[in-house]
Amino acid sequence: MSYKKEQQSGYSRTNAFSARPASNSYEYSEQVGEDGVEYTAGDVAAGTFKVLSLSNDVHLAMDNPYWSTPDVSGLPNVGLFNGYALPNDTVSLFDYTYDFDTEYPGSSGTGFEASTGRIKLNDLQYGDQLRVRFDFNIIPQVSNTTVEPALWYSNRDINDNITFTFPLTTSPIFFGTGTVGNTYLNRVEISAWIISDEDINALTLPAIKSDNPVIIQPLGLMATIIR
Amino acid sequence: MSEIRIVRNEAGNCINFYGASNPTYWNACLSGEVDTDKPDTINVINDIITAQTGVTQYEFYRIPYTDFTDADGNSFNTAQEAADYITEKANVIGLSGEGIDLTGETVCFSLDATSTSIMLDNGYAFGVNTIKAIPNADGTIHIVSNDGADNITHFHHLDAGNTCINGVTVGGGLNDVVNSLNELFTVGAFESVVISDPYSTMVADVAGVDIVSPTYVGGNSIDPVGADVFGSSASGNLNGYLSTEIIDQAGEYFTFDIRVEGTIGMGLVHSQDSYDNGYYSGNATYANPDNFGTYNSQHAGF
Repeated sequence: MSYKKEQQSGYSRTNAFSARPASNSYEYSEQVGEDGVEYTAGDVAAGTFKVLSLSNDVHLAMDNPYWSTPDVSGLPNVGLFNGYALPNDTVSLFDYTYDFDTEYPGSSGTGFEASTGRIKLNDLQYGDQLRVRFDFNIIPQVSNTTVEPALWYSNRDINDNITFTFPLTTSPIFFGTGTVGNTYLNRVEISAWIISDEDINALTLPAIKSDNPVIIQPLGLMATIIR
Repeated sequence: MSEIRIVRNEAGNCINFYGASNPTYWNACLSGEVDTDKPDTINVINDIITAQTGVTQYEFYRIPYTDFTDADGNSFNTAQEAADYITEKANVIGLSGEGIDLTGETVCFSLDATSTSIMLDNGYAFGVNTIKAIPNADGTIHIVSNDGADNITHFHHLDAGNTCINGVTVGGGLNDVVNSLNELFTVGAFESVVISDPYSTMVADVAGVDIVSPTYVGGNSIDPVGADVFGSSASGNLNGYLSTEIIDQAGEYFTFDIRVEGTIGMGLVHSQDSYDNGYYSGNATYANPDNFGTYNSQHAGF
């Protein structure tokens, strides 16, 4: 299928967060071990941006087109749309099998340790703009909680050496009184420019920081490339 | 978020969760429970909103019980223990006995003009002998009800250095300040005792030595109404009520419980040792304790 090859911009979608519980068909529930990622008091004290991994198993289970027209079944399975809406000359915007610890054995302090998967920027061009819509549920555990979603982002040189690591944040989200224990869907958008080799070779995954314990249920990513 | 310390706030009639971003809730609004799906965590439920809406409203949700401590910073052994503690401290009827935290506060104590009330400059007042200062293990002072059990605390964590009596900072260490406060609270001998009404009762001591074997000396002495009262059957007699107790240590004193109207005289008589060592001035015969009540007692020292 050769749809949209004249089109410059494009996007892809995935639901492949590794936090989704295999024991419950990759859907979150209230049961222990199935309710999501715990952002603990220890994370609060450390000011951690908790990086949220992707998983190829979850990708294969969750990123399946539910429609028949257009038929995308013949396209590579690189996201929910099977690459149907990707920008020009882009094979995939997600790498589900990337294993940070394998690539950087013995690494510490980057924030990516023990993470898997990444948003793949290697097929992008100078001047592209990356916009990631990060869909996630938050269950506040304490009143008056401020959550900061971000892309945890490491620039890398052409030899894969990490040069700078930082959070690309968007507006914080406040959960006041009356919110504790409830589930809130958030669909925040985070942008980044792609302007150098170090951006094209960058590592990035969504991350969340909070000033109180929260339960995070990462749902999906929609990565859009604007040219 | 650091650990969350749960403290019943007597002054505010509320419960405080120190370390939490929403630290204060009114009394009788919350209850704790162990989460059914995660039994190592607890929930704190807003009972008022839950009753209004019919939907459970949480204030803390699935927080590990180990993240909480009691008012003194002690950890809980189980989630149920933590949940029960929250329910108890969030639902207090009357005084909880935990008292008001005076951490960082300066408090000045004084007696009223009749020495029957202890007044604090924070607006509280208590009857004399009804409260007691006790030293706490952390070096601060707790003010408790003087009921013998010391388990009802009115105030706690008063810094000894932040304590004053009659407008003057109390000197010395923790126990010195405690002793000074208790001296005030019991209207001790070093406090000014006011007898403005001869019919009134004056009680000016605790923990003293009761003179159970008084000695009536001199002619015509009688015991009209009991062991505490002495009298005379005739005028112009030389007699008196001589204590067998001797003041021979610094800080010792006599106190008197005056219960009836009358003309009362009291004074000190030389002990035999004091007399024998010549610690008197004037007439040696009059100063001799052997002559008390028998030889012109007015000049024998009382």
